Amino acid sequence: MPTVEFEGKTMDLDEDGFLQNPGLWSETVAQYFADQEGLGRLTDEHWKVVNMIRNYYLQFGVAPMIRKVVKDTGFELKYIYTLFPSGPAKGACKIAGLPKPTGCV
Amino acid sequence: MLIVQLACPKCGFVIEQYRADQLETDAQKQKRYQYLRKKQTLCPSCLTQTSKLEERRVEVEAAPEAELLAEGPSEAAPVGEGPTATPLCDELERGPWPSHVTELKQTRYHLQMYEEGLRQKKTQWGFGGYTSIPGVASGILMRASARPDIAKGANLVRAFCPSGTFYSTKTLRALCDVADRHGYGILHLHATTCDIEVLGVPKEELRATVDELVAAGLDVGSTGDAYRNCQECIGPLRCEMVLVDSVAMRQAYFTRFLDDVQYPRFPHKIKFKLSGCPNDCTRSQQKGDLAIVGVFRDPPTINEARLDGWVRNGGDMAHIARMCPTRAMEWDGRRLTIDAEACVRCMYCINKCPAIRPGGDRGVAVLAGGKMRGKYGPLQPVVIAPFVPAIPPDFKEVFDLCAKITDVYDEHARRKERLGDFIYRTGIDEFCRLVGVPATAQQMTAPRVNPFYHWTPEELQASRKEGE
Amino acid sequence: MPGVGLPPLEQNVPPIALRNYGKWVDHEELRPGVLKHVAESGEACYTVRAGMPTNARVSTALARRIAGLADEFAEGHLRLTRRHSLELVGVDPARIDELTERLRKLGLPVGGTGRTFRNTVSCTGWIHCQFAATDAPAVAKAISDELYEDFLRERYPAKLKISISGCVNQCGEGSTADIGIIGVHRDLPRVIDEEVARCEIPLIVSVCPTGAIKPKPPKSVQVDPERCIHCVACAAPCQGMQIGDPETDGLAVVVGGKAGNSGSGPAFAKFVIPYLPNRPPRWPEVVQAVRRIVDLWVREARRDERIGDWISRIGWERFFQKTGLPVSEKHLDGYVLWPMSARTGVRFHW
Repeated sequence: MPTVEFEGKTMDLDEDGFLQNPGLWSETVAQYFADQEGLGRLTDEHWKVVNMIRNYYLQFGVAPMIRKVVKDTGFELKYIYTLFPSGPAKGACKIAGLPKPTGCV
Repeated sequence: MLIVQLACPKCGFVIEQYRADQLETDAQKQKRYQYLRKKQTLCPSCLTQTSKLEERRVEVEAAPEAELLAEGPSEAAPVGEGPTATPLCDELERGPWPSHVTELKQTRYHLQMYEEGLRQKKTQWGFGGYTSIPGVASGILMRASARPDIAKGANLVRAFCPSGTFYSTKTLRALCDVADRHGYGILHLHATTCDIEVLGVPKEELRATVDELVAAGLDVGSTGDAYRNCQECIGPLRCEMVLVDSVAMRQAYFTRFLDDVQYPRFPHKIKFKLSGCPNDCTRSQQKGDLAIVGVFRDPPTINEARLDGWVRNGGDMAHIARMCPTRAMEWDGRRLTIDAEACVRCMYCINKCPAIRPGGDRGVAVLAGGKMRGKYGPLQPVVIAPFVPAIPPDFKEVFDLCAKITDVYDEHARRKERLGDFIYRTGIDEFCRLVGVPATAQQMTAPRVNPFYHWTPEELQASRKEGE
Repeated sequence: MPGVGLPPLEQNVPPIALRNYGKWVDHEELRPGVLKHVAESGEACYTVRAGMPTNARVSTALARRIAGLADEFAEGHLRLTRRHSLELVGVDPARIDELTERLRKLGLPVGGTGRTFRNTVSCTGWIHCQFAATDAPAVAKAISDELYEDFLRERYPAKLKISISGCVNQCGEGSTADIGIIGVHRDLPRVIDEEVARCEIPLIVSVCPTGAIKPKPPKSVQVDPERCIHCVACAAPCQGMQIGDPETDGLAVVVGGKAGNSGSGPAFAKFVIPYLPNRPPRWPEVVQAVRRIVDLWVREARRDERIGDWISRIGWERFFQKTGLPVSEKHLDGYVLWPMSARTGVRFHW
């Protein structure tokens, strides 16, 4: 199992690079995931989306619907896809430390 | 190893069997075994009902697990020549119909995964899995492996079939090249929504696979909570029944909705089907979250001269008139009349007799909410608008309505709730009000039988004013 | 990069179809598997249809051989139908026999038009899917072998479509067909606590249609065995909800579905055999049940009556009586939409 080290803490990742224990998420971890996704340094606009998703998840226990993300951040859907090229449901959720999305049906 | 079998007393078919040692130790199995012994059981083989299953104990040799788990695909295993690594798969190569196993054997697919599935009566593919590559938000799926000792998981890439599902051999060969270069070398032609699937692509080759498919004219998508691939019937490309230009309509769909197709944003998937006539070759009236079906309003036309010739050549008009589902046809042996008021434009007679053709005044019906699964099980889509003009090239009226329907769905539905379940939850009256379509008699099989309407304050106010 | 949409028609559509776009006036079936379409201009277009390997699984080797045939016989074009059979369009009528023979040598039978057994549709089953309760491709193969002769010759009252789904998600569309086979799970989902802890628990709870799933503090869920209807809904959003039990999984048989509006209209198929066990590799009792229903339909239906039309004429009472299939409480619908299938009035078939 791959591991990464942040701020003196060792964290386990699963085979797809998600945190085994999502409770260990921090902003440093988010930046690490962003690098993995090839996004480079996260901008304020990235953070606006990431924080919105993260807060919604902490409050309700589920990822927000994409319409909600668009409304709350005020960004166009296309723009969110420019910020997170693999999409709000995949890339942004990963960076925000949400559970791994699964399923094909 | 001792096996305990429960068998049908009449035909001897083994209904369930257990390993004797497990039966002694496993409480769940014991319970099941006792339950089966006591209850009425339907024998699946001779289909008789029996209350007393026959118990048998048989000694069998333990399965040679080590051999069955041998590594790698079994290309070298010829059919019927001694023991092979994949005896059950080999069995599926027998018989006259072309076999999927024969196809799998010619590729790098790990046949042992399938063989193990057949042997254990359980799929060897696992839950979970996740792949994302930047810029491709839809079109890639992960297949996780529950047996990493046999094969690793891999990805599949979905692409849209070309118009009318026609392929030039150039396109097909390009597709084969992609599958050979990056995948197992096996294609799914097609998956049930008419997507092409290239299977077994490792993550590092996904980008190249997508780029090469797109270069071959096969854009990728059709996964995730987005508009899926739109299926159309062959329509004007080779069918005389077609009432609206289904092929042009699908192209207009991709022109207008490409972003909704490739950037998932809805509560759940939306499958889109286009049929050019009520024969509904795309099965839209069963599977379409959004179903568009060509319809005509004028009664069917009869070509008298052609009918004469057809009957003289042995055409059985009496049979067709008798089989008309609404008994709208009268045939006295010489003259055919169609009762336009009784006719429901089902196209039965049109399909059977070339002298009868669809009438004029053509457009499409828009139905919504079809699906095969989800909360309330299979639901057929319901009529939202019975007649919408279908005007090329952009079919604006039709797609405006579809966009309105998905907007309402997107705004009000819960996450992972299919459109059909959402309509069922809200009620067709409320749904139509939200979408803003007028109620028509064509939307119901009959009006409601309960008086539990919802009256708005405005409606009450109007009555009060009238009374003053 | 994605974002180009569909290719232009000219790239894949054969010239004969483009020349006569929207101008077709007539068609006839010359023999099973051979169609002749006539356009306004009088031009005739001959099509040869062939069955494809079960589950529409095509190796690139076979695809390349088919491409070779298409180059030789159909001006470099081919088509796949909505039921995944192969069509070569625009074939020279003098060479149809030769093409039929060449396709046969590839293992692909010519037929499947008119009143025949059509190409089966099935989901990917145990070849590649984590949900499948039964192996749809193998069941499709077994049934296709059994009904092979009926693909080649017209001996049915109407067409016969058979679809096989490995589970109730119905990617294989069992419910749409004249006869459908649908894989069923019968055991409860196994809850893997440490996996569920990493999933969106409110979502797992909300997708359950019967409210059988409740949160189990601190971070898991529990399933009420009394209320679970084995719908597989919870398995899709969370890998900690695992389904599949080799001893109790199996399949059900449904009949009478169809899409077209003629006859009794579009309808889903109805469950007539609630459970048959999995018996790989060839599922003999499924084949036997299908054979029994088909034979009876062939014997009793009027011309042009598909299975659903035939049953709506004779009634379910007689269907069960004539097939000898027992009726049990499993046939009575108890789910939310149950009043749709419960009989009111006393108009019985005795």
